[in-house]
Amino acid sequence: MLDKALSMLLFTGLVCVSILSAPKRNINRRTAGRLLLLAGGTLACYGAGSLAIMFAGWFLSGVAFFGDRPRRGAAGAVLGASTLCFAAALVILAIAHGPSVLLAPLGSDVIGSGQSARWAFVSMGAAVLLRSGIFPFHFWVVSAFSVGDLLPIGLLFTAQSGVELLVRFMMPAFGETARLALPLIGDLALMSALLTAFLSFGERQPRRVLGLLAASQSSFVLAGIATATGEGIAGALVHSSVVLASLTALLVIYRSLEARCSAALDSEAGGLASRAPRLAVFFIVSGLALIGLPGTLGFPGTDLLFHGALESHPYLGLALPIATALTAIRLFWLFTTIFLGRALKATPPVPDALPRERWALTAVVLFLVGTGLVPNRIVSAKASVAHGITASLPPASEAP
Amino acid sequence: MHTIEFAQIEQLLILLVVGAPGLAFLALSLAWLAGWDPRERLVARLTGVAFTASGMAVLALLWEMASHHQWSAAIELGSWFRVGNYAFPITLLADSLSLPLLALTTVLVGVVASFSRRYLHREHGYLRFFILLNLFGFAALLAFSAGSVDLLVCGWELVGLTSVLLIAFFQERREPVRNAVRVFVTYHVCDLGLVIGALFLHGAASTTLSSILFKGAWPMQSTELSAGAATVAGLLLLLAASGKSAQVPFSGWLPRAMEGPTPSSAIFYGAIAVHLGVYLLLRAQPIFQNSTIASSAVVGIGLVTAVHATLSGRVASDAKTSLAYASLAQIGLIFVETGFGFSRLALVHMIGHAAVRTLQFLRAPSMLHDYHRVHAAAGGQLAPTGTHYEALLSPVWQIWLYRLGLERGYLDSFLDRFVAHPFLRMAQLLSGFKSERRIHPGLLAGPEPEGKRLTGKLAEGFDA
Repeated sequence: MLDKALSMLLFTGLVCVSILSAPKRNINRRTAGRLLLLAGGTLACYGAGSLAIMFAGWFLSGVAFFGDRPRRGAAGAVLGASTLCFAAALVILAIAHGPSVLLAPLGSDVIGSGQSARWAFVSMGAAVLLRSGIFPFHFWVVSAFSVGDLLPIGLLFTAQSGVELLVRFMMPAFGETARLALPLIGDLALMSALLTAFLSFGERQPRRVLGLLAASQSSFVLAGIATATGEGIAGALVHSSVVLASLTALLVIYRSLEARCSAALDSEAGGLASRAPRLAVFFIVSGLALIGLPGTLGFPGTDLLFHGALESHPYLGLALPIATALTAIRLFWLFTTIFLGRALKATPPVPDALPRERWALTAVVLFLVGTGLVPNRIVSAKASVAHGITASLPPASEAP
Repeated sequence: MHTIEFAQIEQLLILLVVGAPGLAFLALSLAWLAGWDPRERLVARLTGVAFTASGMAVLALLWEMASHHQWSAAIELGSWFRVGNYAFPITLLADSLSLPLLALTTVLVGVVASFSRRYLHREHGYLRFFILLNLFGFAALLAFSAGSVDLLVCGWELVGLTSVLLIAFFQERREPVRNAVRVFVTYHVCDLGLVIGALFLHGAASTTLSSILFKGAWPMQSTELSAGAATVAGLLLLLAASGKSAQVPFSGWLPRAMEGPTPSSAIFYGAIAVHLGVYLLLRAQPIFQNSTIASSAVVGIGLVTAVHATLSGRVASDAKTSLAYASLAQIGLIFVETGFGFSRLALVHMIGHAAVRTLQFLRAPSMLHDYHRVHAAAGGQLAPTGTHYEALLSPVWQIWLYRLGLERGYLDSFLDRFVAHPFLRMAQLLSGFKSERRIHPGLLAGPEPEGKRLTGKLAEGFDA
């Protein structure tokens, strides 16, 4: 219960941060509508008491993106496909167990391991993988990040609705089937984490780099859940909070800079640290939290993730530390490219963080650093959830 | 090693040693965040008070331990976080390895802070420098007093971060920023050795706590790790140590790090940060003793580095680069001593080297003035130096070695050509990179040259 409340509070806070800090020209009716749908849908997912409500939240949070223009790539199509897969799973469950299963408290009914359960699991699993941008479905994340509304799509992606579905319904309800499938999900997620971090080195556009890094970090969370160990799941849940907060801050700062540098149309905007030092500091602190710098909440998350991943995947688990190193290098490169170096004369005299931006981003940074210095409360809350999840899974030796 | 019941004051002392610079860092950072721009004098005084307190605490701790006839102690401060059976312990060590280094750190950082007060007077990034200096001090003290490899990783990472940010101190110039990126890449690639090594030790020995992993008191310690496990762990830790201490083949970053202000060059690359790798090897000495392969690798790397650094230093054309290579040569020799098991000698060598090198770096800006004074005192006739060993070699060898030194052992070009470039090329191919967007030919390079900045895309993204 505490964990649910924390997650909902954090997400609501970050939506407020996004609205407060977004450039004013971005807060039009369309964006506001998207954010409302997104917030409502995501909170419904987080707080859902039944499958039906979770599906409604899933649908609501993604519906605003279904009709996106083709140049935004396959984001709308993939989100639509993931919703269809989820819906298909619900239909299968309703046919096999009656419609009441959709309204039963999440995880209360054990679906079992029959044929219909496996099909439902596969369909739901596909929905999770699509929504989470696991390789090879990361392309929608990259293309969605590269053009258009950065903040809503960032919030949608980092909300980790797929992980919510996996943790709160699929693992408790599908028991044996989940235990069988988790190693495969874990392998996919580990490979995805490494590959997407690696692919970011082939990109030069900051938006696309951020998209790939977001996909990589999302894979970390799924990989941690799939370890089915207490440390891995707790680490994944902690890390999902870090991903949400850090990436939101990074995207907010980047979007603010885009709005400020509009005058420098055909020249470069670097060396911004001398003109916007606070934004630079917020950017680097948020980025470092994402890669698990000691003193931020990212450190306990990644530490637990590494332990969990290596326990369940002794060799492939090494993908996580390597992906972390690659992410760190790419983020630092991004920081130096945007903020350091000589500011050219053509670069407009951009203002530093405005008061509304400063307050919002300070709150995020204080959250990341404050909970990093004293992580026990958050880690304990996540650990109790992790304990519940591992208790609901059959022991590995009993799985057929 | 005994975990003893310390009086409360003694536990507070070790916390004060490590925590004083950390508190100074927090105070200055929060002040800046709140929009306050403190005066230079206040910043310098706060830093001075922090390191004075830390230094006094080290002395007091030494006195307390001596009066109790205890020369090693592990102070347990609970767990930082816990999940099930796994906990991250916060244990600080005070023994004959960590105490001298704690004292050295507090003294040298304090000296550098005092020097910087005048050296960086009215410099644009004065506050930024002192914030990072305090963070570095805290991180180094944490690393030297860490009672487990896990906690050492925390200090290690923070030292690396402050190092990189100070290399890019003159951030409006292109070269310092590019070099900072290169150093960051090197650090993070090598730090994988430490992270994976710590995870390996968890698997092999179920702990990374020094008090459990190693029996006895430093330097007379032993471990129960098998030779195979010791070899794997040793090689991983050696990778991390080589990166941090700029050993071959990672030596290229050290001269590039001279871009930062002279005080940071002194404390990082002359005194403390560059010796962190040696400290890791000394702390993990029992692991290397159990593995001939790992200890041989330490000796080999140290020897090669010493030779390479000597050659490259002899052709360096500026004082700081010359000093950097001189440092590197000495650290290579310290690696050799460590590999052979001469732990006490390595420790004494390290402390002496750190003190001398700090002095030399701080005097570097005055080096030319000093030379002219000596030259004048010698009546304008100073005998040429540096030709004795060259005269023993044939002209062919002289030219070949000169070229090798000038190219700094071809290490950078080797890494760029055979590691970085293929890596980037493959990433480019797999990401379906369009051919008109030329990728910069070096992973280890920083931002693109002016005129080809990708941040023009910032405007493009806005227009979309």
